[in-house]
Amino acid sequence: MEFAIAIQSLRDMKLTERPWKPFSYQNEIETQTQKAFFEAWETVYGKKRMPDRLYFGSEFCQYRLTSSIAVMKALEYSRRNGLAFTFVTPYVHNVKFHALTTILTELQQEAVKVKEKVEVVVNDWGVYSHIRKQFPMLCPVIGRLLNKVVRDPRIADYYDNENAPPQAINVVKGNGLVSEWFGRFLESSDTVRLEFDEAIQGFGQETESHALSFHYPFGCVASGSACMVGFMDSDKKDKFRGDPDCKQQCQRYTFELKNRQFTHMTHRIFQKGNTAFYAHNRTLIETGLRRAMQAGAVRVVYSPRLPV
Amino acid sequence: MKILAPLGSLQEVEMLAENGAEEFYCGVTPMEWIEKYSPGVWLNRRNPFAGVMSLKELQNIVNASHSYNIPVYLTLNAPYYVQEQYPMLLELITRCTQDIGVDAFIVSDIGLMMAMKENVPAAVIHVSSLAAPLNTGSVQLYRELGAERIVLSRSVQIEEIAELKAAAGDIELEMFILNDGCVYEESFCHTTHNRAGAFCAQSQWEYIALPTDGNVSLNHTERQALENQVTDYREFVWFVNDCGCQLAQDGLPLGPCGLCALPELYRAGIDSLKIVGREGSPYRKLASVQLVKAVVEQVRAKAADDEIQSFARKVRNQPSFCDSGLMCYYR
Repeated sequence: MEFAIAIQSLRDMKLTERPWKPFSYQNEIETQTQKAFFEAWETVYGKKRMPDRLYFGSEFCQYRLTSSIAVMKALEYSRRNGLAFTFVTPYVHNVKFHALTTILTELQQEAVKVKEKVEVVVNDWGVYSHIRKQFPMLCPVIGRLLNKVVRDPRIADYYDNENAPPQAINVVKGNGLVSEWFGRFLESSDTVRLEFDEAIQGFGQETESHALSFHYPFGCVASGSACMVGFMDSDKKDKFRGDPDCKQQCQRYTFELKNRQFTHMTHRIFQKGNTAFYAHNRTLIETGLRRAMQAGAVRVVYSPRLPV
Repeated sequence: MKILAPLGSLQEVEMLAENGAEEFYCGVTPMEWIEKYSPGVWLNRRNPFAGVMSLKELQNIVNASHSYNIPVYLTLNAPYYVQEQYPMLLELITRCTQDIGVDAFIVSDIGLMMAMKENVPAAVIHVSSLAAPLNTGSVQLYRELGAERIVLSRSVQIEEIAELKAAAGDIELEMFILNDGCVYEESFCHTTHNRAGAFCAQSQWEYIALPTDGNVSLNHTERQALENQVTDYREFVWFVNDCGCQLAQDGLPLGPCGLCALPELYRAGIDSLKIVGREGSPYRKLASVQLVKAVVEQVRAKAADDEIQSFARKVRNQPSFCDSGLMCYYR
């Protein structure tokens, strides 16, 4: 099992050193999920261990795309600290597609220079295709937003239940990426890794033919361009759309979403910026880690922060 | 620039065709699918009862539409399909292409696009907005996969079209013009409306503001600003969700609208304008088609932009909603 730590800002780089250690600015849910994750870890694996790999970047918001200078700093940090490196990318509209291309170009040059491929998590098929065509020294990994597993905490428990309609379970616990036909698309290149959120309803398909990553302790429910806190200071008519001059208010404000209708949900829900997340509980994390231990070659990706 | 209208039944064909629809799209969910997977596993993005329930009715719809020279596109845009669903899907696509005469399939899953090209090469693919065509990279990819049209995501804005059009080359681009928005990016919303309703339905949620960093606290001013922000957000979602799923007093549909942008969409070379709402009432569909047609006719008559925009606002007849800016697809 490979252990990766996911960091979205240079500011958080120190958290790679002892990810189980509480940090001064973690919020209440991050404290709770950190405790749940490392307790489950100790139950399953015994001793805590240092990460093997650094994930750097935001998967969810194009306005959190960092500069190529920051990416290079993160790469340098990972090398200095003996961590393998993965650059993480969001879905992008065209302006940010060009900005991302600039970063990818620099990463490609660096990879050529050191004669070592750089891994890039993609959450946009356009970015995937672009890397395949233009950047042979970058190795794309299929990100969790491209992996269309159902992630709806309101009904997930219903499908992990003996009363669930049996004919629906294979579909609700399944995903499209491991179909033969999607496989043909992916196999036309050397893509080997698929990323997953840990699904509350569990998984029902055989996935041994792929290298897999599972993200903890936050799963993505939904992501989009309507940021809840971007444009806070603007006129109402300008709010809730992409903001090229985003002031990164998501780094200051988060919302917890309490559901009035589904009051028995087993996972708490948060919205940070443009993305809603479910926070994993201890049981879900332990289930996932046990599966990872049995599978052997799985990568476990831990994010200390709500990952925007 | 054609008007693409949603269809829910055979009875709607004549009404919509006679009133300005130039293309149709619909869904079909055969009973065999429901028996095999339960009503909770949707064959396309909408629930089974938003479409027709048999291939016989689909055949009648296609025949009736073709008698008006109107093509019919079939939605196969579930967010994903698992391996065991492919045989039934490919059989459906084969029958719809070879026997029924469906003109194209609106598809979001790349695996299904691959399977169609191999197994039913005559089937025409329109890439659904659920495939997140957001940038030139994705437009080029879908073009290479054999698509003949791409439905751009709702979040794509006017100023982005030129580059996407250039990347699309000779394949068509479709954009949303009326009704039913999505709060999140459709492709990246991993929820289901089945059993739970829309995740973004505001009546379900209470928002509790927190500092992102745990070592700071929110002061009174910030809390007040965040409360106001939630109020504005709820209003935005209300517009996106068709103003509480209402019709206006004059019978016109309320909700997301791109009518003022029509001159720019026309000049940008957009090929098709999507009216959303397969599951809506026949009357809502009719009113939507008439509304879009009225403004498209102004564009085709080469009226000035400001005349078209003021005409669009006049026929919408909701000045305060238009002024809010939150009902606009393109802003």
